[in-house]
Amino acid sequence: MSKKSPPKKAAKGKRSSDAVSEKILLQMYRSAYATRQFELKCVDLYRQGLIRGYLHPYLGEEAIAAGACAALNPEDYIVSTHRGHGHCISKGADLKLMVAEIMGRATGYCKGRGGSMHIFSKETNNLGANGIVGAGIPIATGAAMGIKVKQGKEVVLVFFSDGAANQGVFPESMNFAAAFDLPVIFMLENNHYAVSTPVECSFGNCDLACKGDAFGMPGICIDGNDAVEVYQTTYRAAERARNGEGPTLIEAKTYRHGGHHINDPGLYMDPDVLAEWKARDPVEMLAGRIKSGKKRKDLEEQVTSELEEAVEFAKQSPQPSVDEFLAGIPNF
Amino acid sequence: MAEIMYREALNRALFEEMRRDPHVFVMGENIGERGGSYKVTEGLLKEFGPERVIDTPLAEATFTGAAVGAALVGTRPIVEILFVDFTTIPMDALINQAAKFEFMSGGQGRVPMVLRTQGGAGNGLAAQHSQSLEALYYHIPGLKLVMPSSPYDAYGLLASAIRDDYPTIFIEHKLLYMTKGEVPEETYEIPLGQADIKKEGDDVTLITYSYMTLKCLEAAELLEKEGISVEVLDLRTLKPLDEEAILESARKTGRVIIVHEACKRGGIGGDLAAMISEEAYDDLDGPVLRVCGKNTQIPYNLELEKVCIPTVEEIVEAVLKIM
Amino acid sequence: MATKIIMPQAGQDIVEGRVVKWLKAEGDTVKQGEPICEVETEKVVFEVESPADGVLLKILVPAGGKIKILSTIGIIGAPGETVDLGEFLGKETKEEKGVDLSEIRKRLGKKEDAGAGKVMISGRAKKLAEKMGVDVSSIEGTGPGGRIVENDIVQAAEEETDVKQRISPVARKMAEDYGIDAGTLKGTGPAGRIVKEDIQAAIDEASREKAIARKPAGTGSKEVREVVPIRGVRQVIFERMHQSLQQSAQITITTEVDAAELVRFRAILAKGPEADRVRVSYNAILLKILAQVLQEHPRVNSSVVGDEIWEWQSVNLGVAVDVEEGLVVPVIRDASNKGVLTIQNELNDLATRARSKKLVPGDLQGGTFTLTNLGFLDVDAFTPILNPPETGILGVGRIVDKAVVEDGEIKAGKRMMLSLTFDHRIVDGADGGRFLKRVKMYIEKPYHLMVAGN
Repeated sequence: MSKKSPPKKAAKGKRSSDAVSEKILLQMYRSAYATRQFELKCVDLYRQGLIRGYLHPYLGEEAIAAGACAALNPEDYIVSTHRGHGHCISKGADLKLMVAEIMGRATGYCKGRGGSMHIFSKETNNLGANGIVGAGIPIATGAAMGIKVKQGKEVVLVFFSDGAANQGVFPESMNFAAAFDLPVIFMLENNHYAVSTPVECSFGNCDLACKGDAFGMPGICIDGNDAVEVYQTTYRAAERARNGEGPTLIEAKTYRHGGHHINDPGLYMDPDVLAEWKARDPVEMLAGRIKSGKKRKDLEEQVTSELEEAVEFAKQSPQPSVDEFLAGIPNF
Repeated sequence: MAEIMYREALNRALFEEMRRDPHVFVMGENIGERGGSYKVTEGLLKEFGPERVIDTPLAEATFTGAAVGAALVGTRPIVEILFVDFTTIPMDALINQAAKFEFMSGGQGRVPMVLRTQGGAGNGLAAQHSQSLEALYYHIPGLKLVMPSSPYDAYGLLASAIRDDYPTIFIEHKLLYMTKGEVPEETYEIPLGQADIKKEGDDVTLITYSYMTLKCLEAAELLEKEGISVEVLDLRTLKPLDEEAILESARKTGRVIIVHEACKRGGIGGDLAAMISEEAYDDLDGPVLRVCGKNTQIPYNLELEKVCIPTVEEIVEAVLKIM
Repeated sequence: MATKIIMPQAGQDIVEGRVVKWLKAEGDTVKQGEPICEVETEKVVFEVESPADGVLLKILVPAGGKIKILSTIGIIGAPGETVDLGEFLGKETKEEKGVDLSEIRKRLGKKEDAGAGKVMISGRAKKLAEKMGVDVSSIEGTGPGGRIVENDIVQAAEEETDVKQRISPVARKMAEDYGIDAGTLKGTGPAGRIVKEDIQAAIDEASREKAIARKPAGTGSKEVREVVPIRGVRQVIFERMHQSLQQSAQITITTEVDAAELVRFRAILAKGPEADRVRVSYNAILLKILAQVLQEHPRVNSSVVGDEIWEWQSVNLGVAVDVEEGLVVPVIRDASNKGVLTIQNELNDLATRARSKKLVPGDLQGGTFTLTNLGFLDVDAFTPILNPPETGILGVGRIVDKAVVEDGEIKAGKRMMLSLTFDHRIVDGADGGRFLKRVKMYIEKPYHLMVAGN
């Protein structure tokens, strides 16, 4: 059996401070802004019939992915969810390859085989969005184990939501990670709804961060709409992991700006609560932190043109070849 | 050549592969300290240490899912699940994750993991510890499936499975662990997807795998005395299937019987029979027959248990019927 | 540059949407992103934003209109821009390619040849070939890969039969049915073909020989003149006559009627205006009378079904007709609603068809009562046998001049015998008598038919 570190008490996150470099702020803003524009564009493309199947926009939650990924190194891994565009963009994905994949084209990241729910980017160490809620949690835990076997220094960050937190594999994975001091960060994006079921109705104990303590790791609750707070907390958790001190659970509170997926109008969401959260729009809050108005504008324009280019690229891209697909089916 | 036990052959393959590649590691319940309930992982902890021989908590869904993750970052995990009956717990990890990552990611993600497990009836372990569930995995695209019948095959196929870049389900048989056979000293691989003619014959082909191979060989010996020449084709790998070997033998003898321990209904015998009839109909002297396990759960009582899986007598009878 | 406003995609299985209301009118200036109309799919209403800056040139689908998802509902363009709708909309709907069977066949192409020297034959075809004695080696298979299949055997057998053995398919079947070896026969058909008549002759010959062979010993001078197999019409009569007597309690009562009026009636009709078209026979008049009386005595117009007596609504009268093979009884349906002339026409038609063997099963079915007239053979009274499942049958004898007593004096009169057989299980003796007396009344005073039923 491997050595275990003594369990840490659950600590509340520090209030956001201004001690974050401009470089990081701009990186985070770029991620958040790009995610916002990207998701709105996807809604548009879906309505035009260019995207099929499901679309789960990350609107309203941008700060979590932006802040968390800014705290990781490029060689670190993330594991994503069906609501994964924000994670993918924040980890540095090429927007062209993303739009192409979401439109099912041969030039997409996954050659049109995966689509929105299974978007995977090896080059940015994104181990994929997953269509099975919670399935990414043990995968991330195992990836951390694999890193240990390789004696590497990378960490793994897994995104999942309050819905996934009720899957058996979540407590199992926390336990596993803590028992073996695995370098994994459990990022619980608490957006208060599992599709239409609110947290109050599905948890015996609505304090989700305290689960960390139960399984032998720190559990920290933060404001998921404050990208800086997300960044700082993730950074500390990554340090812990790299030092061999084991996993961390971060509960980042946030709220969706719409229903569960594109065809869900979210009628079950309290309009007052929604208005409150919208008043604390994560993208705008982050924009407010950027001192240089010019840099901000330049960044926004760049993102806009990048996105336009990406959509154009995807529209011009060919469909995958049916014959190639059939011929390529392996014999197992 | 020395004769060693099936489980010793597996153990040897694990040692060889873990020495050869530092990214190969094993995990499962009680496999480290205890050396595994069937002793297949005996001695590994001592040589390779707890970093690569991991005694997992009792959480099949998570540690199998973890193997997928470990494989995605470039290691080669070998997960042991003590009974194939328990593989129902990590079904999502096997069917929706392991089998699909390479496909869904357009080839970017690889899952070179091996899931080792064992199944079969005969020890009075009753319904939840005696099943043959290979048909479930046979049906899922993206999973390789291996079921060796001899120590020689066990060593070579496990080595290949570990080196293979795709997820492989490796199903051993509880009654085979102590069977002995000749295994060479030097390392070797048996390619996946290659069947083996365990006994050549001209009159009838018995297509089989795993423990039933031994029963078929027994039946073949008895029939030889009656002047009936039986060919026993051991599939060894179920996926990828060695269709060529199957059809060659079917065309040669014209009379085919498929023998497997798993339930007849929905067992892979049906798939094989259909394939043979589609491809070799005109060479067949009659329909393909199947001798399979009864469509029942396995009972505790030993006498009852015995009739649930094919006996040598049933196999002989089927051959006499088809001649 | 004109831009389409389209009905947006909703859920994957939603095919149609409805425009709820337009927030802008034609001619209004719009900005990109500005809500321009509201649409509804599956009870969910949402806003559609303008896809471009410009003027709302045209509303194609007004409020309340329904249209397929992704179809155009409006057009944005520059102020004053004209748009050729036809060209602009182009092909809105992508036609789903239908299944083209001829294309599939072309793709399957010519069937591949089987390996040389190898006869590929399906198990089923093999079995059939053995049964029919067909040689498979010369057959070209039409199954996949050139395999010989069932149909190939059937075709080959037909050809063989027709060509090789020079026998007509009908004759071949007949020979099969009667166990005649056609191979030994000489054909009398065209080009020496074996035809039906040849088989029939062989059958007759075979029967005679059998009978001769079967002749019991010691009968001396009792030689067989001819052997007639009990088949066809003869077989039907054979079985039904016996069945009739076995299954009912038949009793025959007779009465003698004064046929003078009947004769006079018929003579008048024979000189009447209809005589050019149709000559009314006694049978037609008798049938009309029977139709009337059966309506008055519905119990006689019945059958036994199970353990019930079913009285029939309509009167369907069978008329016994003597033909070459024996007796057939074609039926005149619904006789009570037909006039005498109609009945006569039908009689003529049925009789003609009966004699030329052109009756169909429908002509012979559904009768509820039968008339049988043996007068033309000088028969007076007889005991007709019921035609099952009928309850009654009226036999009619000849009309004969004879000495009769009227008002105490002997005069010359015309008399005719009626013989009524009925099923005593259903109709009692007295009722049968009443029925017959009624018939007699109408025959003796046919003008009563005019007021009957009114």
